[in-house]
Amino acid sequence: MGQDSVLVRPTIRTAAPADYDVVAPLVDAWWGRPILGSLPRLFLDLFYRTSLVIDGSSGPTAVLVGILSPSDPETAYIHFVGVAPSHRRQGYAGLLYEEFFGLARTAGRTCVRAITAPVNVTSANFHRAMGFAVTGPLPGYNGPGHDMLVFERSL
Amino acid sequence: MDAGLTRRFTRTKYRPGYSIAEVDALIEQIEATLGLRPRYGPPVTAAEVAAAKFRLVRLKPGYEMREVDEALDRYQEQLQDQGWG
Repeated sequence: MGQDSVLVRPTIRTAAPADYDVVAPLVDAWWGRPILGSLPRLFLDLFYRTSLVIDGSSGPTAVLVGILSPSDPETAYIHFVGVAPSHRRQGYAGLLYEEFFGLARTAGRTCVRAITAPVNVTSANFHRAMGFAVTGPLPGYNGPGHDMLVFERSL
Repeated sequence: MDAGLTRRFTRTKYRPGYSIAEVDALIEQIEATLGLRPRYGPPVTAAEVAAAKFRLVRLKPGYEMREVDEALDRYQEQLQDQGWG
C-alpha cells in the first residue's frame, strides 16, 4: 500500500520560458474558471528566474509566478499560483510560497505582496495561513469595478 | 465516527482520492467549531481549513477530491461568519 498514505515533498525548480506553452493550456482547468488572461507570456519570458515549478510524472503540476520589483528594492510580488486539481491539498502552494520567500529574502527583499478577487475565499484564507495580512476588499483597486483583496507579509 | 460523515462524499478507488479518515477528522473539528457537534479539542480557523493537507489514496477508498474541496470552501465561509477567520 506504499502508494497510499504518503505525502511526498516534491522537487521545486526554477521556471523556464518554455514552460509557458505547457502551462498556459492548463491554468483555466487548474483554477476552475478562465484565468489565462492574467497570465500572458511575458511573465514567464521576463520573470522566469523568480518563478517556480513543481513537475509531476507528465508535466507541471504547480506553478508560482513571482517578481522581485525592479522599482521597489524592498518588495517581492506573487502574481500567480496554480495547482493541478489532481495535486490539491498536498501542500504544494505552501511549498512554492516558502521557496519564493527564501528566494526573495536572499535578494534582500523585506516584504512580499499579492492580491486576489474578493470572491476567492480560499485564497484569502490560504494567505492568512501563510502569514499575510489581508486588507480589503479595496474598491476599484484594479480599476473601476475591480475590487481586490490585498495581501502583505514581512520577510 | 459519525456514519453521516462517511456518506457525505462520493468514494473513489483505483484513482486518487483524499484520505477518508483525514477528511472526516477535519470536518468533525470544523463542525465542532461551528457548534454543530460537541467540541473536545481546539477550534479550527478558516485559514487552517484553507491550508489543510490530506494524503492521497489510490488503492484504498478515498473521497472525491472536488467534492471535498467545494465542501471545505463552504465551511470556510461559515467559519468566517462565526468569527473563526
